[in-house]
Amino acid sequence: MYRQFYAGSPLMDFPLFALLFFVALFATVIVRMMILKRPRDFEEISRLPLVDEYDSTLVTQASQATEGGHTP
Amino acid sequence: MHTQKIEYDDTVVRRFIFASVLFGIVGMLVGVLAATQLAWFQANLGLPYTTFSRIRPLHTNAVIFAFVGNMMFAGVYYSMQRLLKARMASDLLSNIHFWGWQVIIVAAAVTLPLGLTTSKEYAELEWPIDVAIALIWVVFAINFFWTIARRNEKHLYVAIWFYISTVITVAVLHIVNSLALPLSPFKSYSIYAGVQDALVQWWYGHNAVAFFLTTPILGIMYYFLPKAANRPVYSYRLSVIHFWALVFLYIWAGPHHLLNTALPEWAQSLGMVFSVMLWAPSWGGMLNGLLTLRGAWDKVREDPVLKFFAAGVTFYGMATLEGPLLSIKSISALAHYSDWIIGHVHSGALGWNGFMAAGMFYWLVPRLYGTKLHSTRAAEIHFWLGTVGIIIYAVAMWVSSATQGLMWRAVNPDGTLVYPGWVETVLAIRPMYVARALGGGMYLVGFVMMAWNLLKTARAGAPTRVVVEVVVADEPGGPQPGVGAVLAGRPLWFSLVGIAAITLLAVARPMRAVVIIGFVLLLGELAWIVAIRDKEKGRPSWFGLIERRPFAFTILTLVAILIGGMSELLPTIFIKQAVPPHSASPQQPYTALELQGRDLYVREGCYVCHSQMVRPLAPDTARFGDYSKPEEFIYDHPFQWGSKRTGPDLHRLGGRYPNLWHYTHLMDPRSTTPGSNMPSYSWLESGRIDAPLIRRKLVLMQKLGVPYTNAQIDAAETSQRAQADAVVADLSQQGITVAWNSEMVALIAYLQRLGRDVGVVPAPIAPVAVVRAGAGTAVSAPLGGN
Repeated sequence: MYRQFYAGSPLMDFPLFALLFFVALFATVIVRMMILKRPRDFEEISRLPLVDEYDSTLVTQASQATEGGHTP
Repeated sequence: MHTQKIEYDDTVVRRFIFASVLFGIVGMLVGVLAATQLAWFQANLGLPYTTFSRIRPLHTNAVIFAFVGNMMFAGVYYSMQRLLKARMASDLLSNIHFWGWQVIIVAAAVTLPLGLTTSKEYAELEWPIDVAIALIWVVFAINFFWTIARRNEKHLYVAIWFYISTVITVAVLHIVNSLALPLSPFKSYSIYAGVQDALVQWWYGHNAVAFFLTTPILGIMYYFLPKAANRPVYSYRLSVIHFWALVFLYIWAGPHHLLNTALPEWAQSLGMVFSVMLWAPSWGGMLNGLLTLRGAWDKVREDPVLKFFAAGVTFYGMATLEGPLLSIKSISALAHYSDWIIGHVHSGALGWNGFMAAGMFYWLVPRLYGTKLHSTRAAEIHFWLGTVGIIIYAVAMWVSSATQGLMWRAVNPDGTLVYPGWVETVLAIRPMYVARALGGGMYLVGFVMMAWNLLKTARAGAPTRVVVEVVVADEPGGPQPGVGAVLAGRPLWFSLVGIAAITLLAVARPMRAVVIIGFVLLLGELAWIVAIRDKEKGRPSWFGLIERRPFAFTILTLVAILIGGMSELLPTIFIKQAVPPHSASPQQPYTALELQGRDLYVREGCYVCHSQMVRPLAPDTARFGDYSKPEEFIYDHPFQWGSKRTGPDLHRLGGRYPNLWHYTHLMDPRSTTPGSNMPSYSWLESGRIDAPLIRRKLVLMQKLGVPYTNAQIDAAETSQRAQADAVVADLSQQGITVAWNSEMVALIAYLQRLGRDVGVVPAPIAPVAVVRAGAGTAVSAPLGGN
């Protein structure tokens, strides 16, 4: 069935290879993200959304929220 | 180091939220009305202004630009002030942006039902409104970049990156796609024609989805999801990869809307390949969003905000898997023009955009009014109504597509169509249209509940005034590398050489392709080694070079989107032989009356339900006739290929039926095609064309490159009258009296012209039934009519 399906497409190997290559690359990136320890240089930036008027405990390198106008 | 007090401007955020909810209700209400008309055509109330083909653009524009647009601006204004630790640079510009955008929305709501449209999907608004959009967008951009320049936080969080890509790409898309020559304050003609116009339009159309409905919402996801979950994004590194991969790949994907059409093969292949590749960064982003909730799933059960975010991100994942799947040519052959596409865009719009909006509103409004959400229970009900509504909608569209798509292509052993009558396939899916209206209605009810809930919440509190004192380090981390260092940085050059090598794969023979792949792998390895060595030596990484440099960052983003855009658009614009002739007889421009009729075809939005593109596929050619050639559209300003076949393709309609059939069909579609769900267009009989205007139309067309001679222009009114008189005389012989300058006559003249050039001889269809009470004799035919 496989041979029959690709009988008319002798070049199908290339896009299939490209697709597999691409999926493998994608999977590698995801696995790497999940396995690797969170790098420190991103730690600080990734916490930026958590620093605002509702949370005065977090301090960034550049700024510090110290006063909340209103906290529900 | 010093401290600074900042009061955030949340008034503009509250306004945008209010506008988003209000226009969301309006846009979805119009959508439910349109969906209802597919099952019950009478729901148009017999009025042109409420007819499906006119309100469908109103629905799409309202939902995209009014609902999601206002929601996006609310999220951007709220999050960027906090992320940058700065108030918006100019309150005046913020106000102009808000009120200007609302005026544009109102202008759209007035003009589209009136039939003032360019017919370019998601860009239907006429040129004065287009100019206003460009101006207001510039106001937004100035305020946006000015705020970035005045920021007190030196880091640019990834959400800001997504916003930057939105601001610059939407500007490029809107300006390029909207280029047109105006005829009057309410009418213009695209400077592009045929294949060019189709390619530019879907480059715009797809990237409107990408950079208006996706990238800003991803920015909102990267800001609000961590806040709601009270934990940082799962992988910031992945968000960086997500951003660059998405921005670079998305811009190429537009041609997947034109697979199997007269678009050049290379452009179709590019669109397909890049669409499939898009799956990876899209899922990278989705996984990043969902994994951010790792350890907080218990909260998802109880917190409606997280529930909406989790479901929204999941719908994003579903839609971005389905999109690449639909972009594969063989799948597109079945799914394109069918309801699968409608289901796909709605699972994205309702699930991704709608749910992310709901999550953001439920999180924001209590904080903006200093109180608690009025009813968590109501928010829960909203969630389930919305979720079930989307599922009913999407499943109905899948079933509809599979049913109709397979009926379209079913052939007997002798090669003839099993279902030659188009209306058979429409009647088969009618239950799905009912289910679709039900699903959409459920979603709307949930949305209205949210509006009520938010209103009660706002009334229970009062607008808050947020003042923060920030400690600002003058230049944290020491002096930063300049723009030159960014542009001369090794990572950038590694990337560019890699992209260039991969591009060569498109034209390389098999052995060279293997060599190129090997080279790219080696290059990647080398880049990795260099990056590690640079890190050991304390040199800044590519990320470190760029993340605090908004100007360099913006330039690189612009380059990333222009590579794809220019690679696809420029060949069709500058290559003279882009449209190869298939016939010795050159394509002739439309006659004066046909051009008037074409404008009416555009005004009524016929393209909303009818394509003009017979694909080179056996089921298409068996049903409609010879496949469409690129040169047949070279005078089509704008193109009318359409994207959906609720009714049959019309490109080979000319000469198939007598004038009487068209008259009867337009007056009462069911008299010629029992069971049709097409509304009556009887107002065309009493409407009158602006006959003297034809001369100016031809002059303008001449400026656009259509080869009308001066003699033809001088004689335009005379020739228009002569052709109209011939149609009137023909109808008169059948007992129909109609004025020569009625819109009906002009539209019939246009329909009779369709697909009759380049040597195509129309195949008349044998009449099979004759009856129309009270208006003489009408001819019915089994094919095509809807």
